[in-house]
Amino acid sequence: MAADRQALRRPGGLLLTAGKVWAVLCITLRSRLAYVGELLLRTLFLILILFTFTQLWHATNLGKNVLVATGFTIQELIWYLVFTEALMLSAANAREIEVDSEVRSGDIAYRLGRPLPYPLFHLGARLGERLLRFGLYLLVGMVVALVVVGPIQLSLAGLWLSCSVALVSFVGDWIWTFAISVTSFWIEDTFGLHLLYRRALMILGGMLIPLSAYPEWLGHIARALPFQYLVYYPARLFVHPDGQVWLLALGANLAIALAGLLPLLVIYRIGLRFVSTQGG
Amino acid sequence: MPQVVEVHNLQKTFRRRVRGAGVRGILRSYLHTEWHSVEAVHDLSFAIEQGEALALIGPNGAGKSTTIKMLTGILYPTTGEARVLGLVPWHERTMLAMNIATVFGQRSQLWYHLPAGETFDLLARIYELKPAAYRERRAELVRRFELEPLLATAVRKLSLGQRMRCEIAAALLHRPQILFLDEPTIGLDVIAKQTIRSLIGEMNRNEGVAVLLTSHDAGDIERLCKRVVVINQGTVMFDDRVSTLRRRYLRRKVIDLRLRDVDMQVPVLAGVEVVKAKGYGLKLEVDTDIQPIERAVAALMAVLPVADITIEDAPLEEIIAAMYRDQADSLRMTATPALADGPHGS
Repeated sequence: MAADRQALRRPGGLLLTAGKVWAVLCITLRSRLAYVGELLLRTLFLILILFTFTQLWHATNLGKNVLVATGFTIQELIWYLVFTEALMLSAANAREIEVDSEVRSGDIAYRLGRPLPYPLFHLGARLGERLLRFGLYLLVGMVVALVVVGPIQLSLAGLWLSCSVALVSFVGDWIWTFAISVTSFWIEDTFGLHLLYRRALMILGGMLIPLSAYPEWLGHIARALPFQYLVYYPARLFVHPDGQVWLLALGANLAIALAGLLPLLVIYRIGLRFVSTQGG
Repeated sequence: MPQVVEVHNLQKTFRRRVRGAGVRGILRSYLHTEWHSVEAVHDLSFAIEQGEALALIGPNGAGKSTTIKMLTGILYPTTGEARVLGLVPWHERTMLAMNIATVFGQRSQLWYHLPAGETFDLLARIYELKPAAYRERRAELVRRFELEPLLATAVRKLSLGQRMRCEIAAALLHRPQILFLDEPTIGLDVIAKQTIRSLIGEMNRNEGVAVLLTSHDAGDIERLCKRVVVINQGTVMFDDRVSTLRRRYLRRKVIDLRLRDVDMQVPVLAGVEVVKAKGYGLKLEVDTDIQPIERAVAALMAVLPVADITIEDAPLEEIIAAMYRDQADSLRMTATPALADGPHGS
C-alpha cells in the first residue's frame, strides 16, 4: 500500500516564497556581520585604488580638458570611481562563486533538498552579501573622496536615483552570474567564464572612466553592449542625477534581468539532470 | 502498513572524462575525449514501511549516498523507478522536501558563523511553520536533545557531537515523515555516537518517523534498525532482519587491547583467536557463538595487565566477503545436482 499524497504538506505561494528569500537575505547579512574586521580589511583595497587614481588624474595634468573630453571634472571623476568601485568590488569575484564550490564539496545536496528553489536561495544570499558590501564600500569611498578631492554637489535625490538603479542592476547581474555558475553542474569549473564576464563588465561597463572618455572605436562597442547599464549609468546618476537618464537606466536594467531569466531557467533545468555529486 | 519508500530496479551511472597523464596526455584528451562509466547503483530494489527504520550499509563507494540523493530528488537515476511518500523524488522535489528531512554526517546545514538557533529560525521560515507551532516544536527538541546551553554559541565553536545533535534537531523541526541519515555518526567518539543513536531511536519510536540510515558502523545498525539492506558496488547483497545479519555475519567481534607489559602469555580460550600481537598491542577475534564477548573480556582482564580496551564489530568489508563466500557456496550447491544430472539426461 502506497503513502497518501493528499496528506502531504505543500509549499506555499509567491508571498511565502518571497518571505523565504528575505529570510535568507537577512541571515546572510547577520552571518557576514560576524566578521566586521574582514569586511573592513577589504576596504583597504578600495582606499588604495582611489588614492592611486586620484594621483594618476592629477599627474596626467588634464586639468580643464577633462571636462571637455568626458563631461566630468577631476573631482567628479573620482566620485564616479567611488561608485563604480563600490559596485564592482561588492560583487562576488570569480573565486567566490558558491555554486561551483557547492557542487565540488557536495553541499549542494542540502541546498537542493529544500522547499525553496535553489536559485532563489542563492538570490537571497548573494543580495544580502552584496548590499552589505556595497553600502560599506560606498560609505568608505565617499569619506576617502571627501578627504582627497573634496566634495561635489551631491543630493539625496541623486543618491536615490543611482542606488535604485544599482539595486535592480544587482538582480540582473546576479541572474547572468548564476546562469554561468549553473553550468558547473556539468563543466565543474566555471572560473574562466566568470572571469570573462567580470572583465567585460569592468572594461565595457566603464568601471575606471566614463564611456565618454573612451576612444571612439571602443566607445562604439561599449555603447552597443548592455554592460554600460550595470556600471556606467548608475555611477553617472550618482554624479549627474537626471530623471530621463534614470528612466532609461532602470528600464534597461529591468530588461537585462528579464532577458537573463529564460537562459537561466533553461540552463538550470538542463543542469539539474547533470548534477554529479558522487560519494558522501 | 503503507509503504513510504518504494524502489524498483534503480540504477545510476556516472560518466567521468578520462584525462591522460602529463602534458601530452592532457592535450590528447582534448582531441579525443574518452569517457569512463562508473555504475554507482545497480538494479536496486527495496521498500520501507511507515515508521520503519531501515539500514542501508556497505563499504565506501557502495552507492549508499547516491541512493539517498536519488530518493531525495537531488540526483536523477539513469534508469529505474522510485516513489517516496507517493512522489517521484526527482520530478516533485520541492513538495517532497516539505515532508522529509536529510542529515549528511559529513556536511552541515547550519550557518557556520552563527548560533544554531538562527538556522532553526531560518528553517522555520523555509518550511513554513506557524510561529506558535515552531516555538513549541523548538522547545520540545531543545529539551530532548539538551541543546539549551549550545543555542547561543556559534556553530564553529561546537564539538562535532554537539553540532550533530543540532543538525538532527534542525532536520526534525518540520516534523518530517521520513528521515534520511547519511553516516550521522561518522567521526564521533563512543559517547557521542551513543547519544545520537538513542535520540534517533527515540524519534523513530515516539513520532513514527521512518528512518533510512546509511552507515559504515555496524553498531548504528544494531541499535537503531530492525531491517538491513547491505549493498556493495551498487548491488543488494542482503535484505533481511538485523537479527539474521547478526546471527550469520556479526558474530565475530574484534578486541583491541593495550597492555602494560610486553610479551605476555595470552590465555587459550575457545573461539578466541590472536590476530596480531606486537609490543604492548594485542588484537583478538572472538566468535561470540562459541565464546560470549563479556566472558572473553572477563577472562582476558583477569590474567592480562590491561591499560586500554576497545571492542569492535568485524569490518564491513569482512562481512561482505563472507556474504560473497555464502553466495558462491549456494551457487555451487545448486550447480552440483545439475552437473550430476548431465550424464543421465536425454
